Amino acid sequence: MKSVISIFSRNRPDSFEALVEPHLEHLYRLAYRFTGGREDAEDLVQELLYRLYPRVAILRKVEVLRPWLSRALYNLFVDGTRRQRSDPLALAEDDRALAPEPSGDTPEAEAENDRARRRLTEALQALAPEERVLVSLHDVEGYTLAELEQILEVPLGTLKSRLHRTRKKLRGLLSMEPFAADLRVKG
Amino acid sequence: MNCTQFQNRLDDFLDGTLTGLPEEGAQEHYEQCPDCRRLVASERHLRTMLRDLPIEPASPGFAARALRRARQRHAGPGRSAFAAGFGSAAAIALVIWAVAGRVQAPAPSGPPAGIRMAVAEQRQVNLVFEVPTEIAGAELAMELPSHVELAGYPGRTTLTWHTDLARGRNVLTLPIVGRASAEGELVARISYGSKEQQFRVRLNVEDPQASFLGTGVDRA
Repeated sequence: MKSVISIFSRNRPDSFEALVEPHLEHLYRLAYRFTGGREDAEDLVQELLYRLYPRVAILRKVEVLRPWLSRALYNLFVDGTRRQRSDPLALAEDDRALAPEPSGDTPEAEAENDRARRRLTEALQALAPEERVLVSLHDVEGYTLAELEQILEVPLGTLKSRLHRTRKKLRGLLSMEPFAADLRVKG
Repeated sequence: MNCTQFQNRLDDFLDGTLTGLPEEGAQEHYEQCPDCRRLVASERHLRTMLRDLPIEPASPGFAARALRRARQRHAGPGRSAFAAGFGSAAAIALVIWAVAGRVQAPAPSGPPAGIRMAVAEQRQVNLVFEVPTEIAGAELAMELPSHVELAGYPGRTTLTWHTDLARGRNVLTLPIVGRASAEGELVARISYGSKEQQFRVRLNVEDPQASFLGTGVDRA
């Protein structure tokens, strides 16, 4: 719209709205991955904006805003989950939700895909918040480990090992481990 | 390389970050071990599912609403001398004039007489907001009558901006196109915190051909 209509001739390009609005869709996506639901995601982003609004002077000094905002959102999310003291394994105890669905050669392939996605979503919610954030950012949203090192302020080596453990845990939650214990070790 | 060693390097194998001997060993084991090939296929499937996980879009208007709420939460009484007197008619003076492309000297003070234009004519309408002090995070909303439209935005009758108002003169330029012969009002609303002020501009669009044929509506 700005390319067609001249808005106020002295509009500040560094106003809070001008700084933050280009990143809101991205922040909502992250928040959705963190929380697993639209309502919680919107609440998380809203809370972030409440806290950032009086600090616009700080935002104006940030060179690259997106990773900074992503980190702020992550910190807010983690702080919130710590306060709530949620049990991240509660869902995992629901074997009905995570039990493998029988597959077969039927025209219900689409329904099977939906079930698989639901199981995956539930498994992600069963991870600890920091684990869910890591998998969401790397495997779902495609952030590189180098980018996550900046956003999460965790050393690269630590991120790699955490990601490895989290993926293994996720596979376990999904019961997608193809090996039984007695087949795990071969010569 | 055995299965345990391969599994320990599974992520690096899939990410393509193994090099040298570990890469060769992993590739060789992958080609020779059906169980590990199944594991790799399973892990690739999981990663594909993760990448393809759908996301529920935000509710309509979420971004604008969230920004507005953040602004409103921090715009309380006493935060701005302007906000305290916002309801006063003297707080904002609105002068409007219409020119064909260039902002010229303001029209004489007093209520605007309205803007007359022809069907299919595009007229640059400049709304000038005179404010006594800087306002951060104001919301400007525009409602257009149905017989005009904004050039480049057919069918849009409402527009909303969030912007800062500088002290003094702030000019909003609207490229208005007359669609049909009619008379109506453009309504502009400025909101800041819990305050709102509204301005109206008459827009009279005439059909030159109808006038020529003597069938134009006399609205005087």
